[in-house]
Amino acid sequence: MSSLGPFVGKTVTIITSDGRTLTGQLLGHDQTTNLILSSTIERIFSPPDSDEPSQEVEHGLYLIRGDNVAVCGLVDEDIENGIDWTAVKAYPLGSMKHS
Amino acid sequence: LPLSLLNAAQGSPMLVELKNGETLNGHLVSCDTYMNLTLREVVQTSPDGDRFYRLSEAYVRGNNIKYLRLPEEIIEVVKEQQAQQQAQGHHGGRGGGERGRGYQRGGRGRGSARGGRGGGRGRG
Repeated sequence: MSSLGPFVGKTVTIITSDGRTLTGQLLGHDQTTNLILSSTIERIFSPPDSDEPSQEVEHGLYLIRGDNVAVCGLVDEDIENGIDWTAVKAYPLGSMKHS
Repeated sequence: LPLSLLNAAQGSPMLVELKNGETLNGHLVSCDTYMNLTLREVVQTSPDGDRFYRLSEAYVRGNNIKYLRLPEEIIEVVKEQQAQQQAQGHHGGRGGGERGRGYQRGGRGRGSARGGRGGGRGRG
């Protein structure tokens, strides 16, 4: 069974069940995938057909409940810093739950 | 680690966002292993952000939580607490461990001696 152990202390990007993208340093986790993220940034991407640059919102320290975590991915710091995020456009992700 | 961080955050202000989009801003009174919370001096905001309620106390059932936003200073407070606990734990643990091993060695030695003699009688 795989765990998030190797990711602790590293920068990760989380996709939540409502389709938000949060990037931050993973401080800790537990069996139910509750996560502690520090210096969290939420990136809000503009759709490709819009001229608005994509935005970043600073959120500080986050405790995310495991129910709401869909994906937790390890970030390569060098590649991450080399990207101009304001120029990145994307359609918003849908939420995990469908009515 | 997450739940211990939450326990260490008792008394500090936080923002709780629920699965239905409501937000509660208040000070954490207590929490449990299910992430149920009691908060005091709470401001509850509706999902649309148009209605505000002030509550002196609130109870939140853990499974309704989407996330919690905590003040950044908490990490440092927790690290200090952990450092203090580890220092105390090491001193107590080393002393207790030595005593425990001593008892076990004595017990096994006596037991195996008797067992050996008993085994010898049986075979003979």
